[in-house]
Amino acid sequence: MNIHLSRREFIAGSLLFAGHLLAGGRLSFAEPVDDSEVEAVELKIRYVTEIQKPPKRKGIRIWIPLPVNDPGQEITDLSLESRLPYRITEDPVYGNRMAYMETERVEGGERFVMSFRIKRKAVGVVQDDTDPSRDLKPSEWERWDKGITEFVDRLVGDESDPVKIGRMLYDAIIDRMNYIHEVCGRGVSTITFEERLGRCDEFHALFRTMMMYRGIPVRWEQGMSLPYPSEIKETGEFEADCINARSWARFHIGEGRWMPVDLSEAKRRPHLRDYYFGRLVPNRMRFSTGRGLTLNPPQKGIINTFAYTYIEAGGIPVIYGHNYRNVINYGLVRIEK
Amino acid sequence: MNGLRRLVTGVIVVCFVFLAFPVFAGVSVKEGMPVPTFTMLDETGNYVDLAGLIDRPTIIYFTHNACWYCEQIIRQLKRAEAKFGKEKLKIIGVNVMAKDTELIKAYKEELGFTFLMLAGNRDDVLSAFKINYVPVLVFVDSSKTVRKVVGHYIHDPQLEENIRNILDD
Repeated sequence: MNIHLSRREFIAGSLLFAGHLLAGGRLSFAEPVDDSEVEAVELKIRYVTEIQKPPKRKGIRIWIPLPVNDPGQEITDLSLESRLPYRITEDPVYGNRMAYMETERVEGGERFVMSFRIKRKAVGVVQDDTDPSRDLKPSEWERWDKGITEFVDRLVGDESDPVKIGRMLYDAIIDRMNYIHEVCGRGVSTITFEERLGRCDEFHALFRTMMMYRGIPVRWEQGMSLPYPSEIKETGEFEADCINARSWARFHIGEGRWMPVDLSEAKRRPHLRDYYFGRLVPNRMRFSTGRGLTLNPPQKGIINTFAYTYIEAGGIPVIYGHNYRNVINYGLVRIEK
Repeated sequence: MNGLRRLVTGVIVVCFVFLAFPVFAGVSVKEGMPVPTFTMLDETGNYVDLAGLIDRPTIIYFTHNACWYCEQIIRQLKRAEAKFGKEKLKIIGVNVMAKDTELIKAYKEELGFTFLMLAGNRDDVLSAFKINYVPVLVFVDSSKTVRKVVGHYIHDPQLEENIRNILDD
């Protein structure tokens, strides 16, 4: 094959290539990627919260969730650009970290830019010796009713091994439920059980509820979706909102060990059903733990989960898409197999 | 005489309880069935009877502040209200984040619509309408029968088709 380039095309191409390498890029030869064999994905992230229409009410308070360092992800080079002074705080229950700022008013176009590098790993069972009893307390959305308890008792019987119980409920929920795209879930277990429909929050609320009913602690992990390694591009952009927010769960299997599950992704990708019982594809970023959170300083509104920037004006949650938006840009650094 | 007095007192207490607190008619949302009705808090701080409000073809729209699609549907509903006319079509918003009047007042101020919005962060309302996510639109005809429940983003042609299906001839 002969390729003819003009001098201008050659120079432009060379500059682009050099820029890509200097930016930490890698050579890609478009080889097929099996998601279940990927060990880690490394990305550069730029997370921008931008004010669209300034809220009419005064007294603006902004909480931006900070990505978490844990066995599943390494965060480096974290920075935040903001005209407003901010402080880093932690919620008192789960230790979720956030950048907090307040001001009387904000202008349209005001931006808060968080940048970091993430190495997300295909994490499995992890050791965490913190007291698991906190993860036995259902949130206000995770109550069990007679229908749920009878279903669990019938399915699980006298089994007491948390891994076996987990697998029985994992399979039963995946078989029972249908996945729905592009809605903002509330994750209410009783409605989910009855309607058999939902996204990640509904799947994991029901799993968590059923496991907690049987006395097995389950931790709610929350973040944003990333593309699958097999589908990821060199660069990309997406909205950090409730549509792209992603939850998964991790249940206690004894002696400080926690096993991850992602039921909704197992539903969407049946070939990964066994994989997602005990391992997570590195196609996510974790920002928080828990549901029904009280931020620091405490917010006035009710926060179901904390995966993206939350803003109040005069103590009222402002409107996503109208008052503000969050946009994530990523640049792929490498995929490790 | 004392028995009669106790009976009257009991009736008054029961009536007070029913009048003072939101009332649920006791059915779940289902196409072809009567719409669930409640007394609910409006933006002025009054409890209003949903059954009484549905006096013409009505869209009950469930939304909240964190959902971009939902905000886009508000714009579509404003256009639909202008196109079909308030006398033919009623729109009632229900904000599932709102427990009080302040949130719905602020929501209306920001988005600039005039149709009624009610505070919907209540287990009984959300359970009856099976609201596990937003957006959800419930299309109700003038006989208070649910004709269609749409639980996802809706485009203008689909919205108009559903409106035409509930409009009186």
